[in-house]
Amino acid sequence: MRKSHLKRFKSKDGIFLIVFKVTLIWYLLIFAAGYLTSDTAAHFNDYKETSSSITVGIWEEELDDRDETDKSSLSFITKGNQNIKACQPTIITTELKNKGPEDMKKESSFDVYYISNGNPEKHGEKLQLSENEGKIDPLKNGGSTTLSFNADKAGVYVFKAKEQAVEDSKLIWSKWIDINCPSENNQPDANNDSVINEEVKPDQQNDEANENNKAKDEKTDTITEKPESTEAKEDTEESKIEKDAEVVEDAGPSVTEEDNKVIEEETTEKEEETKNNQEGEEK
Amino acid sequence: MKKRILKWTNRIITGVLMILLVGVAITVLSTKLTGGDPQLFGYELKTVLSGSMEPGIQTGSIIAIQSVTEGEKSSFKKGDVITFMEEDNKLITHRITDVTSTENGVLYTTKGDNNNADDRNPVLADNIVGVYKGLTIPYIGYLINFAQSPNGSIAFMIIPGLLMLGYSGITIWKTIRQLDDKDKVIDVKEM
Repeated sequence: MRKSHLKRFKSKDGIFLIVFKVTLIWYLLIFAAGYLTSDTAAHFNDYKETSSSITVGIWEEELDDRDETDKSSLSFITKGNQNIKACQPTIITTELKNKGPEDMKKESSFDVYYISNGNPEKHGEKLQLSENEGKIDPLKNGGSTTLSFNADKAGVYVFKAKEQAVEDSKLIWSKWIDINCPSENNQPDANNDSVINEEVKPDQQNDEANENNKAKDEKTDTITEKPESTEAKEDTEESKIEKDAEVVEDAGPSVTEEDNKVIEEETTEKEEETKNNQEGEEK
Repeated sequence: MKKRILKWTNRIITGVLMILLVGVAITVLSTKLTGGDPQLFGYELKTVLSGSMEPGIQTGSIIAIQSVTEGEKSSFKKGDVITFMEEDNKLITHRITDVTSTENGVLYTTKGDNNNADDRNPVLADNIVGVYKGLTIPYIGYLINFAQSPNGSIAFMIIPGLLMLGYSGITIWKTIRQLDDKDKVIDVKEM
């Protein structure tokens, strides 16, 4: 009786032992696994090639630079359109001034536009400048420089520059410079001109000369090729008007309205001058 | 019949337990004595933690690395997969793409099969720990890694321990109850 009871206990103990041993095995396995293994290949690299720019910082100098270029402002100070009578290649010039309030820090550039007849700003072609040309050295506040270009054709030239030496600057245009060669036009016209001039001159010569000197402040035409006397200049201007008129007639429909306007303006100016002179005489 | 099964199960389990105990004891002892990494029949087991060698070696698998002798270190060829020490205690298993011999020894350029570029630094022969011969068991690495984490310890060590304790408690309580009952029965009979 007792034996059987004991056996029953034993079998129960057996199951208990098995469970206990299995648990032990489990622990051993986990320990062994943890003990035996270590990590590897914890390394995953990916390679990509990109190119970009990084702004590391802005240096103080650069800041100054920007400020100063921003604060300079260039403008053409040569007033009035220039009319040059020349048949050889001529150096045309115009004055450019930095009106401040600060110095230019960077150098700037200019372009020259040309059209044989018409409005060079709107319809002119941009001329190819050689490497040395087209540069404006930094100007001090209030300083000025002379831009020059060797013009080898008759026609209307105009200088274009940036108001400030920065990328998105406003563009400024100089007054027009008109080169014409009398010989290109009909010879008789030139003769006519001289006749007209002779007719006008005797009375007004002196006054006109004075008037011209006074008007110089307003009309500072610079003619490098032929620094003629005021008289001679007057001649060229007048003859120019005549010729322009001539051209208008000749060219007919191809001449633009703007051309006409210019000519008209010039003629009215002349007329006014003559009126003034006459008034002066009367007085 | 039931008894015999129980008996055999008991024997087998005891056997397994003994082998494991002895095996682990020997491994731990030998490791402590030699001072190297734990080895099993000349292989080191490594858990793979990244996919840089996929699909050959899966993330989370275990790989067996064969230890190499000094002489073998400089005789690997292009295409062999080696485990090397990149920094202290940082092991990497990658494939050799180029072998260069220099005055200071052999340099191996390595690349993960799944990477699109060579590793930045070539491997000195001296830094090679072992060579992979293709023996890998997937997913076990995850399990081992988990077992070694705090949550894993709770799941794999503490919970089984508590169950074990609970089970033994119940068993003991039952036994005592039965013993008490029998004593009572005997007492009654004797009376």
